[in-house]
Parts: sequence; C-alpha cells; structure tokens
Amino acid sequence: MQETPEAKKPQWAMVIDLDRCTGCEACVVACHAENNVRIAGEEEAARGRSVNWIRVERYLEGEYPDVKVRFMPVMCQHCEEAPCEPVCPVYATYHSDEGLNAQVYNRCVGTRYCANNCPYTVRFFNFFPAQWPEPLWKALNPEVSVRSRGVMEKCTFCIQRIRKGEEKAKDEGRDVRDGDVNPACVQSCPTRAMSFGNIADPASEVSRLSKSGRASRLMEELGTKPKVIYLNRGE
Amino acid sequence: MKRREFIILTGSGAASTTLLSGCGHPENTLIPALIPDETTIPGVDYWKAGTCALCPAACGIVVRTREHRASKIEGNPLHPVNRGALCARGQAGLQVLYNPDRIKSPMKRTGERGSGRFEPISWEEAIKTLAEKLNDIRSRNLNGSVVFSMGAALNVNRIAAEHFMDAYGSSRLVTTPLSGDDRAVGYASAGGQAPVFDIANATYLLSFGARFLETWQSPVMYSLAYGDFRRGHGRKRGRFVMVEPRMSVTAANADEWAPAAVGSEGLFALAIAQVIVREKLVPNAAPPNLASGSLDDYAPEKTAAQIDVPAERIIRIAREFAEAERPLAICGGAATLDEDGENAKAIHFLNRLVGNLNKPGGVLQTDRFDPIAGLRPAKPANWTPLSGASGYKDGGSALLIHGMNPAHFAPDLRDQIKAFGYIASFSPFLDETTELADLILPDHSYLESWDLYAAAARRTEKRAESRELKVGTLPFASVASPVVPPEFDTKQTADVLIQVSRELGQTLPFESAEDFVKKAVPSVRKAMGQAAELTEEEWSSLAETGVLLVEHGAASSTAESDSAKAADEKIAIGPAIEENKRDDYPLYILAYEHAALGHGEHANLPWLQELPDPMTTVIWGSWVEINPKTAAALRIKDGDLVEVRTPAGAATLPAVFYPGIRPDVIATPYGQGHTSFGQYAGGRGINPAQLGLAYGNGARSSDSRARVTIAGGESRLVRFGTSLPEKIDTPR
Amino acid sequence: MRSWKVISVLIAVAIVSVIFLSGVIGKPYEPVQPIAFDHWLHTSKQPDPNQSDTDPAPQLKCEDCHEHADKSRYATIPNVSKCMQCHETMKTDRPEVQKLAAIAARSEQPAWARVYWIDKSADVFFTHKPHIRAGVDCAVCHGPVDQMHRVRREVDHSMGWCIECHRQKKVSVDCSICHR
Repeated sequence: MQETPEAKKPQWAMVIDLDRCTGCEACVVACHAENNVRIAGEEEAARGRSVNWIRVERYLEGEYPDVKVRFMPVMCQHCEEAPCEPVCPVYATYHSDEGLNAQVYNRCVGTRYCANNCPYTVRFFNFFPAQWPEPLWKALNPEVSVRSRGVMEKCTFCIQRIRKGEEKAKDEGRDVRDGDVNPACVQSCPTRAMSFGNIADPASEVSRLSKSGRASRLMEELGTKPKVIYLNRGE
Repeated sequence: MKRREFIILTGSGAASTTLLSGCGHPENTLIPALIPDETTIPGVDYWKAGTCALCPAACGIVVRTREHRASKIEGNPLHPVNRGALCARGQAGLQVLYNPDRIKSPMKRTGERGSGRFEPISWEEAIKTLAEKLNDIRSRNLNGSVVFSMGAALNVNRIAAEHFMDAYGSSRLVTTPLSGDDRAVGYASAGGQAPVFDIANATYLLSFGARFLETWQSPVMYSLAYGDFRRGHGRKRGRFVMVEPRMSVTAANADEWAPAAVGSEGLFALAIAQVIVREKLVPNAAPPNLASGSLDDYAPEKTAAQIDVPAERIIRIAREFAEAERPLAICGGAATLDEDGENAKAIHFLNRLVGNLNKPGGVLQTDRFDPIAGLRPAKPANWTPLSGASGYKDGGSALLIHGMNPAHFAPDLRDQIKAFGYIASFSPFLDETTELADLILPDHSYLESWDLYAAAARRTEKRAESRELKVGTLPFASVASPVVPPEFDTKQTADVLIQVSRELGQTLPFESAEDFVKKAVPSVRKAMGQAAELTEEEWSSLAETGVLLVEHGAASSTAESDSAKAADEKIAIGPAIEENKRDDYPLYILAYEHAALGHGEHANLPWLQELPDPMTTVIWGSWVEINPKTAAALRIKDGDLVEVRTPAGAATLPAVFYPGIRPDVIATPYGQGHTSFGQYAGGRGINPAQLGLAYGNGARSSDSRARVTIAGGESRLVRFGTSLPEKIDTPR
Repeated sequence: MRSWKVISVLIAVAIVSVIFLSGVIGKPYEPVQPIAFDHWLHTSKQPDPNQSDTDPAPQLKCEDCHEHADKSRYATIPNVSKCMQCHETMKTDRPEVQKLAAIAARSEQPAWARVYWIDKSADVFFTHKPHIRAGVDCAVCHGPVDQMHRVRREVDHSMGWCIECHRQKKVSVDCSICHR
C-alpha cells in the first residue's frame, strides 16, 4: 500500500496540553457527532460495549483530603510502530503514508486481534448493529461510514477532515498548513488544549510544541512511537 | 456444506442480486443528487449560524448542513463569547432536533388529565381551541388569573409572551427559580447585566464552589479563559484554589482543594478578609459592612474549627490572595446553598477588598446593551421565580407553559399545577408537566427557529505599545435563522402566540418571529453606529456569520476601578451551622447540577446519557457519592445499593466511592429520575427532588441532612469500562 | 443429505447458465427512465442547416446540466425547472416533453433511475470534484454517454478499475483516500 507518488506527504500528529485539559468531555461528544459513533444503550454499555474513540481518563491519587486528580484524553495514538498492524491477518489495519494508522472497515473480518494487541485500549468492536431510531439517523455525517456489525473501529484523526483540508490546500495551490485540518475534538476543545498539524513541517504548531520540555508520549517505553504528544501539567 | 459448494451458491446469489438491483431500491434513484432548489447544491456543506439553547450562556454556533440535513454543531468562531469552542451539551443539540421522542404535531388530551393520552390535531384547530378558551376566560373577567410560565426560552419567544400577556391583560409571568449561581453573580453586578470575571488575566483564582468549567454562568467562555490562565502566551501560570465540600470537576483542576464545611464559605471569606485587614496586606483595607459584631470575630483562629480548615492554611491562602498581582474571588455552586446570599456577599467583598473591580483580571461589571428595547413591551415585564409560595400558588383559569418542567424539578407543585382550569404546553417533548396538559402546541427546536439576542462581551487586551492590559467592552448581537426546515409539524411559539393574538383581536408589534429578527437587526446596527438597512447580500451573509459586531473589533473601554458602583450591602454571616446537626441524620446531602444533563432537561439526549461523568465515569443512571471512610464505617462497598433517607423522603441508589468528598457529606447529581420524557430519559435513576432537594424551594439546602444504609439487592450502576492499566507511568 | 446439496448446487448452476444464455447478464445495465431523455440528441446531434428552425441541435456540454461536478461530491442532476428553461417553448409537441411539463406543473421531479452507483456497504466516499478538477474526462468513468440515446452502464466501477487509473495517474492509492 505504500506508494508515495508525491515526495512530501504531511505527517499528522496531535499535541495535548494536559495543563489546559479540564476533563469536560466536549471532545467526546464532538467525536461522536462527527464520526457516527454509535450509542450502545445502558444494557450493552454495562457489558463494556460502548464506543468512545476518544475518552477522558481520570486518575485519582491520594486520600481525603489530599486528593489529586488528573485528566487525560486518550484516543488512537497513531503509533509509528503500531502493535495492532502486524497482527491483522487481512491487512484491514495498516499504516498510511501520512503517518496515520488506518482501519479499512470492509476489509475487517472481526478477529479482534488488533484490539487485543493495543496497549492503549482504543479499538472498539461492533458487537451489534448500530441503531438510529427515526429520525436520529439524520444527524449522521454523510462523509463518514456507519460501521456494520462485526468490524473494529477507532479514531481516524478525522480522516474526512484531513482529506477536506488537503483538498482545500490543493485548490489554493499550496502545501497544507496549520488551520487547514482540525479534527472534531481539536475544533471543539473549550480550553484549546489540543493542537493538530503536520509534524514534518518545522513551522507548524505541533512541531514547535512537540519540542517543549513538557512533552512526552504515552507508554513510550513500549517503543510504539505514538503520534500523540502530551504536554505534562507542570506546576 | 463444503467450501466449494458454498462459493458456487453464493456466486449465483450474487448474480441474481446484481440483476435485481436498480429495481425499486430507494438507493438507486437519483434523489440525493438532484438539485432541489436554487439555494443548495447537493453534496456540498453549508454552514449556518445560530445560538445555542442548551444552557443560558447562549454561545454562538454554526451548524453544518447538507441537503437540508444538519450533521454537526460547532462553536461560531466569530462569536465573542465562545470564539469557536463548544461544550459537550451544545454539541448534543443535534439530538434535540432529531430526537425520536419529539412531539410531531399539535395534540389534545383524550384521556384523564395526566394519563398521557393525546390525539393529534391540526394547527388550525389547536390555535382555535386555545383562542376560544382564552376568549371565554376573558369574557368571564378571569384573564388576570392566567399564568404564563416560561423557563429556558429563545429571546423572541419570551418577548412574544410578554407582549401576549400584556395585551391579554394578565401580569402573572412565572419563570424557573433563580439558580444559586445567578444570585451569587448578581451581588457582584452593578445593576447592569451579569458581570464577567476576567479569569484569563487573573493570577490567583479563589473559587468558592463556582464550577466555572462545568455549569457556572458561561462554561465555554470561562474554559477558554482558564486555558489562558494556565498557559496563556507571555504570562505566568496562574494559581487556582477551590473551596468546596465535594470536589467537582472544576475543583479537580485546582492546584489546591480546600474542603471547607458545608455552608461555611462565607465564614471562610470573612476569615480571609480579617487576615488581610489585620495584616494590612492591601492599602486602605476597609472592613466589610457587617450586620453585627466586628470583623475580628471572624479571625481564622476563632472560625477555623467551624470551617474545618486549619487556621494556618486560611492565613496562607489569605496572604497568597492579597499579595497576588491580580487576585480574583468567585462564588457559586455549594457556596450558594445558604439561599439568603450572605455567603456570596462575603465572598464578593474579597474582590472589593483587593480592589479588582473593572480591572484586568478582576470583576468586570458590565452595562446592559439593549438595542432592541423598542421591541419589548413599554412596561417592563416582571417574571416571578417559581416556588411553593409564589407562582402557581393561587391557581388560575389557565396555565400556559413553555421551556420548563416543574412537575419534574419540583414534584411537590404537581397539585398546584393540576389546580389550573386549563393547561396548554408548548413543549416539544412529552415531559412530566406536558403530560398534565390539555393541549400541546409543540415548539420548533432552536435549530428550526428565528431568534436574536444582544449583550455585551468583555475582553481584556494587551496594548501593544505599553504592554499594559486594558479592559474593553464588545457589544454584540447573536442572530439565528432556521438552519433546517421544520422536521415535524411544529411551530415556533412566538408565531403561535401571534396567531392566537390575532384570533383574540390583539396586536403584537411584529408579525412573526422572522419579522422580529428582521426588525431587530436594523435597530442593533443603528445602536452600533452602522447603517440600519441591510442589503440582500448582507442578510444572506448574516445567516452564515450569525453575529453583529461593532466594526474595527475592539471595543470602547470603560471607566476602571469604579468601585463606588458596587453595592455595599450588609453581610450577616451567622456561625450557626453546627446547630443543625441531627443524630438521626448524621450526614449532609448535596444535590448538584450534572455537567451534561443539567437539572434533567437534557436527560433525553443519548449522547449525553452515554457520556461518562468525568469523576465517577457513571453513565445512564444516578448514584450517590460517599467518602470511602464513611462507607467503611457503614460497611458499604463501592457499587452497593444503598438507601438514602432524608426527613423529606427516601431513595435507593448505588453508592460510588468518592475520595474527594468530605466524610460528613454525601452527594448525588440532578439529571435523572424522569417518569416520562421519552425512551432515553424515562424510568432511569433518581430525582433528588424526592429527597426534598428540589432546587429553588426556598429551604436552606445547606441544612439538608441524610442517613445512608445498605439496601441490598442488585444495583444498576454502569460505569464506562475502558481504561488504561492503573499502575502505568502516564504523563502528568 | 449429500445428494440434496449436490442437487441444489446443480440447480443453481443451471439457473445461472440460463441467465447467461438468455443474454440478460451480458447486456450492460440500462434502466428505463421515467422520461426517455436522449443524451445524444442534447449533446452530439449535429445541426441540420436546412432545418435549424424546426429541429435545433442544442449541442450541450456535460457540465451545462450536471453543473456542480467541479464543486460537489455529486455531478448533480438538474432540477426539472432547468429543463423547462428551454422546454417551456421548445418541442412542446413531443410526448416526452409533455410528460416533463406535466411533472414540472405538479412541482415534482422525475424519478430518474440511477445508472452508476457504489454500494453503500463498500464505504466508498467518491467525490466528483477532485476528479473534474484534475481534468478527468466524464467519458472515462461514464462511457460515451453523449452517443447514447438511453444511458447504459458501460464502465465497470470495480475497485481494481479505480486503482488502475490512480496508479497510471500517479495518484495515491492509500485505502483511506476512498474508504473511511
């Protein structure tokens, strides 16, 4: 799949400033709305079958009254060395030339090996078909598929928005730059904790922020080389 | 069956499906690609502007539509309040529009009142029915007893209701109880609109219960400010201290959490004030106007036991606060449970003490910007907040109700509601109050409606030449036109009221909601010193931009440090909270607004039901938070079903261990406990009102006491399951 | 049991053969349209200088009617009002034009049958816009529609066919270019 007809492809990456993140979960609903993420309902959710491409992890430390809480949004980390990719028997998950960990739904046969092998637990299986009672289906995004029963799904970095941004840049006869592409979570963030852009472009905001002294990656020690960079809270 | 047989069989199956495809399958007509009219191209996105209606903050939104279907709501980047950002609630607005439980046409009651049996009727009949009823009431000279009860509503609907009642001859306008947050903020205003607290530029933020990242005033505006407070360009990281008995999401983001005793926030503030005054930490420190006693009675050494925070810590916070470059104190949430507002007055006194009024990083008191006063009734309408003692108390010949659901938030008032001779509801959903109605005239959703509201935003900007911060005022108007055609046979309430008025022979100063907007825009433009009339092009660009702003961006500056404007009311803080202790009810119980579901008004939106509560990760239900130490003493385990009993009632719900809550306090969120209100809300969780925690009932909620016992039985507690292993080294 | 399976397989094979032999499956898909719109007549018919008044040849370009192909996901089908811009006065005596006028008078749209489509389950997000802007001729994907009286599906829109062209034109063949 790795043909690179054009020499310079953007390398998409995200930076999340944990000092700005408040755990408000605006990104979660933004993602549901943009990506046609299904509602599980109480029964299925109780069996752990709800889907959140992006979730806000909450860490509680200490005992009353010295309680410390940290919030951390976690979505597919788009690892450069993604553990999910080599285990897929049908190449439904693969690495694109833009640095994205992509999932081809109609190639997926539902082995769930990828989810098993993902240390970030950001892959979700469709145990049942999505239900959109009339007229709720009308809110579906026409630019994104509605996944069928039996396939894996996960964060795409809003591939449809990436394509749209790239198309816009092409129409204007230039390379992509900051602001062309904002995934739904980044767009919605009320504290502006998230940035998205081309990390191969030294002028981009994500490039600049990724060099911050506060920058780190989630479970770096596994050697997955995530494309999501967290900025520590600091004091 | 062998593999080969299978393949052959499916092969022949595929051939026949190919043959049959294209016959009668809706997918295969060209309807989606057919150009419906001259305004839209199929397959192309159109962004249309509006105003969010899911909380009173009224952020600007833009809605992505394609082929007249709305598929995404985002913040309007041009809107001065939310500047492109939008919270979880606001984005779930699509599920208000396309909710499967919307009322699809006008209906009249067929069964007993409250039976929930209705049959669809035409709009013609519905409007005629209401007009005849009101005409009959007027002919019996009972029109003065008619009540219009209106909670969350679009501006145009509210103004239409005011005109309607004015012309009909009744002054009984009832609205939802004023929230504690609104009252608290009111003490800091100076007669204008609610003040803006310049969190972005404060360097030390002391919040007494104000959950400004979740529910307080304008959460998106303050979240944007908080981002800058933490990591704004060219400034030091601000320090944030939160005083609250239960650690909210906002408190979880604080650098320091001080779990002061329930209701002691006012004492805490006066203790801080006492330290500042006695140590002369600020120049010209004047003591507050106390109703009795002297400020020295509130010295931390004397009050620390009641506040349940060590005196040294109070003194340290006081020094940090007073010595900070730009300190700011805010008040809300649990600090307003005293109902009489004394806490809020004491807390706001801290701002006066450090002199931050109308200064960068301080309290920005804001004059009202009301360019559409000419469209309101000549006599200002007076909306009475609903309570057991006022509003519905004396009954009446008819109740018109819109945008509020008192049968849910104040179930005690059900009998008062039922006492009305006739009930007409404008609700788009069959909620608990609408079930009691005789006639339902369903409103459009806000995304199908016209609206305009005007206000003033505040912005502190850095002067390039002097690097000085300067406070500016930014008057604006937010304009909403329908982003999609009506999904069902509904009608905007303003239009219904205008049509009923016509039947009654009354006139309103505008012909329709659209006409209101068309008349209001020129007067806003005039007030902004722009040409009043708009060209056709300007009108269509307004549908996309959605805001009217004073050109050349910022902003007239206002007089700074006008502290004389601030009210200097007497503060009466009693040291009396200890006296309310009762052995039979050893715990305090707090009910707090759910960040997503509010007080229950958004419980019918599945996205929000399945949104994990950030602290407990609970979805689709209610819970009670309990300190693990308290639970251990009561032999309660995490997830156990417990009975919570208060003097007013009892409820059985699952217990969730919550280390961030005082051991003498339990807490439960509002939001659930609907008996109707559609498939996603109905029959789910507990309504805290059944524990006597109805908000706005006038009781001192800080007195609410409870006891907890194990109930036994299977608990229905669903928590969002996916998470990383607990013991990993995560970025911090 | 085994014999039952064999028989059923044989029957299936027989049905398929009959269909093939009858020639139905070999023929390109060519649905009957609600109005017998003739693409050739509107695009390729050469004007007859002797009869230019009574029998004009409009010689339209594809984009004259499918006007948003360079902006939209769809090439777009013209609204019936577009047809009526000419047919209000032209050829009003033809039965098909009268059918059209009757539909327009009822403010309805003809229920045109689709000739090309991608199955929804393929999760393909094909967009006309970039293809038109890259200068791909309409006929590359739709065949010589300008020579057809009734539109037939002459090009096989299989994934292999898409990829072949993308390869030739050195355009990305990343899965997520089309599937998402």
